[in-house]
Amino acid sequence: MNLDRYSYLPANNFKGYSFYSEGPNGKIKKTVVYSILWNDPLVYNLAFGDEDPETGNIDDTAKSNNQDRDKILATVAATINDFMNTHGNFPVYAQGSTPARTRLYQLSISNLLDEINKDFIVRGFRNNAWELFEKNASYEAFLVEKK
Amino acid sequence: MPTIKKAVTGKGYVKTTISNVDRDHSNDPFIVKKVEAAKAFLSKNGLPDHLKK
Repeated sequence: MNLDRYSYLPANNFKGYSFYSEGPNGKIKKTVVYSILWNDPLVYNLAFGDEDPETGNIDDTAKSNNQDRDKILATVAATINDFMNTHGNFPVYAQGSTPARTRLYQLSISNLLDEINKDFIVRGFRNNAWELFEKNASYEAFLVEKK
Repeated sequence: MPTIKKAVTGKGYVKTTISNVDRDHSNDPFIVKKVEAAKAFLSKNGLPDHLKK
């Protein structure tokens, strides 16, 4: 992929990544966390959100409105690549914490799909089935695999 | 104990940063909740056919 994105910092175990969104509302720390979701076959969950500066906890209900949605998604996609290079080419599952948030993820994936498709296969879940991601479809969840 | 980390920049360069913070977020309430919700979703809806065993 050759997308504009932020520099990110991996945790020691390469299961977490942090970066700063920069825009009209300042610098906002974003964190991506990968957790084992399914054991057979191995599937990881991708969780992503703002890191509260006081508690350090992550929350994806915050609306930072930093006008950099696609750059953030490109950065998250880069961490997927890094994560798979370290832990193996296992599927990664992602879903927003609300339908509206899932819709935002979908819009960004659609905007960047041509670049994302160079390295990944993205599937979406709708009408009770998984299918290859299509730009104008509405999905409940996503599953990403490296090509 | 400070830790030394590598940051991958937008242009693919590697920048070394020394950090004192390396918090494990795996037990954050939000993360735990997300993973539980994802497990429930996959238990109900399953994986794509090519991943089923």
